[in-house]
Amino acid sequence: MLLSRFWYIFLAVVAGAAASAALLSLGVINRQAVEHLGDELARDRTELDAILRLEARARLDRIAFISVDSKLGGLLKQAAGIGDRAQLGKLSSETKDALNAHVSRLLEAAGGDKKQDDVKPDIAFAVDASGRIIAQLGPLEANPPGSSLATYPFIDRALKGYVRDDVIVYDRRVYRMASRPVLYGGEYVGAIAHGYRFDDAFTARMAQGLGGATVVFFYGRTTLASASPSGGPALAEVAAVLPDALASEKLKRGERSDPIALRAGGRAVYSLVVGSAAQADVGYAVARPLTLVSSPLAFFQGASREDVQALPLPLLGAAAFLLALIGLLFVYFERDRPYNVLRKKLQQVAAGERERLLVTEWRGAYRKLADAINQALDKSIERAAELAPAAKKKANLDEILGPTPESHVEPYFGFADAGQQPKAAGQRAEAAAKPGAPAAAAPKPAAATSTANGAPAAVPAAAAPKAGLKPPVPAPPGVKPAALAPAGVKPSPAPLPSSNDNSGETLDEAAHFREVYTQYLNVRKDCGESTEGLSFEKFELTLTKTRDQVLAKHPAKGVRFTVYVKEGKAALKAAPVKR
Amino acid sequence: MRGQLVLGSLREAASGQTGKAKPPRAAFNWEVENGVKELAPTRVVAQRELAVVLLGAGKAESPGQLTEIAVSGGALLPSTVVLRAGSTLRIRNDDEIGHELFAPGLDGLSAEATSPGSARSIHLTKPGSWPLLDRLASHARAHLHVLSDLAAVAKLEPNGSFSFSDVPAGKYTLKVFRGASELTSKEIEVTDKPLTLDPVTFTQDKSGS
Repeated sequence: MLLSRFWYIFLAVVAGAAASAALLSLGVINRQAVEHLGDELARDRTELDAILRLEARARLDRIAFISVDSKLGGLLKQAAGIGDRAQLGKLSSETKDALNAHVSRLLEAAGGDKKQDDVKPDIAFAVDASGRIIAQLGPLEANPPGSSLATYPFIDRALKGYVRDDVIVYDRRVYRMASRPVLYGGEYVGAIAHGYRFDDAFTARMAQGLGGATVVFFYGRTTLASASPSGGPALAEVAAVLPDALASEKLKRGERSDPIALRAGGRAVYSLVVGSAAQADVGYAVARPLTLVSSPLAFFQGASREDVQALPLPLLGAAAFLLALIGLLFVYFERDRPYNVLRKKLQQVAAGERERLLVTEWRGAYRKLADAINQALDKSIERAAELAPAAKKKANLDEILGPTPESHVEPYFGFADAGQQPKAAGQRAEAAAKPGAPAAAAPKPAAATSTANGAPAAVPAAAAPKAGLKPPVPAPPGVKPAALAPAGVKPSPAPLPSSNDNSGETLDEAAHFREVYTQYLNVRKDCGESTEGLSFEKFELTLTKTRDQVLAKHPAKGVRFTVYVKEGKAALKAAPVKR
Repeated sequence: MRGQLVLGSLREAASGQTGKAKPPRAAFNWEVENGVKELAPTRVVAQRELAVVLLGAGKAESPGQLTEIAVSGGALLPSTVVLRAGSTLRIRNDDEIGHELFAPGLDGLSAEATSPGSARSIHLTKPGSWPLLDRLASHARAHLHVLSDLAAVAKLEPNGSFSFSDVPAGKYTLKVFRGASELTSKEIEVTDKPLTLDPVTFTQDKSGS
């Protein structure tokens, strides 16, 4: 088991190291995720600036044709210096028509209904050379002409010949403006300006351009438009930290804010727009969710299909297989194989093919186990031996029958020396051994008796012995002779056939077997033993086998069986009958 | 005794600088020439941006005098306002949109809405200098100077010429302001005869609001 244990320890160490590495990697990965998100947001901000810049450039180019329109130029030139409201109103109407016509041309040029919203301006101005509004489209287009935009930088610079974009706050609304000078007769006669608001559709395009980031445009603490793709931080989250962002010194310097943590764990950076409106705190926020790995399990769940495909799965599988194989081999060599051997040996023990286990066949724990089994076997045998008299077991004639006499037959007939005397002795046999005893006169032996305390008494093996023969062996200690048995103790009903009543007579073996069988059953009952399953056929078969064995060893003419009590149990003794 | 007329002119020195305060971020993505016609020169519009004043103990602007300026085109006109302490400033909104002018640090001029066509007034007693800002039009910036020894404010013409009328004889200091900056300062003496000053040269470099 040593290798297995070390292997388990090794695997535990490897597993612990892997778990530690996984837990450590969580911190590293999460920290890198935060840094990566900060970089990503900085990149988003740069990209969003670039998108806005390109979009402004596209609008400047889109309205270029208007700036050289002679009709519009002529109207603006005509309006310059006119202070009369009626005249200015008439010019304003014509200029508005011209402006609307250009917008229509823009829409036609864009083509498709979907793009019309992108092209149709939310506000548009046509101003004369002094910056007065001659015509406008949008929420204030009903206003009379004459108001000035002269100091607005996008108008001021356009009037000087620049093509310019700007983000402005006009009438509490924020617009992305594109302005161009209007040329007529070789001079600047005014300017046109084209503006869009920050709406959700525009913001959604910006967010799409950033690859799914949440984009929010704000004006001070007010959000103008937002787009929050699925999975991205919500508008409320971004707006919640807007006051903090506006207080950022970096933001006031025109830089982007540091990534600010959002309520749900995402991060957002804030920046002011490029344009005049930056001074009014008009800006945008770009936010992305921050996916932190909360546990090693989440670490695995977060793996993409590409990650899985990038794994050297055959190599990992082979390594895992090798590790498992090594472990299984250790288990086989150190547990399964010795276990199987032990099981086979135990089966042999159970089958009687061997009495004990050979402990040197195993090592380590199995050797100890084998030794313990051996000890258990010994204990069981000892305990069985101790409990055997009290137990009511089925009769086993093979155990009951005593050993077959090998060389000395006399003792079984009562002629051997005292040491060879069978312990079986009946009350009457003992009495017969005494001259003048009543039993001696009795031709038939006394039946087996039981002692008063339940211990069976010896059953007399034979009738009164012949003269000159050794007297019968007295009953063993503790065994009360049948004659001394108290009343109520039933003597063995059938007298045992005596060895001395066969002179010249033919043995009626079958009757003898039947008689012995009956005696045996009676003695067993007297001894308190069970007679269950003890059929005559089995009994006869055993007697026959025993007889054959005896006859095979002794030159006798037959075998007589005697029932007696041995150690409180009924017993049989076989004795050859001399020729 | 009737005061004398003092005439003068302002001459802008060549400079490539716009002289405006640097905004937090660039004010535009694109500001390019139109490619068709050369650009018009960028010049300071003196009438809109400058203030020429005389300081001295001679004649004083009458106490309680009302000075009215307008918010037009998204900005104050003029964008440099010089007043004598104790006078009243009235600001009229000539634009089609509302404005919320305020002067950080100046009591009585907080950011309150002035709707189109309406006006608001403030009585200025404390000498000092404050920026005037508009919360709704971020580019609209002006500067307010309240001086205790203000003797006269010149009337400016678009071409840069200016004139003081009815100036009592005496020694004065002529100052030119542009926004928060004092572009030039010059000692003059007014006698009983009209006075024509040499052109006053200034550059945009020193200006700012």
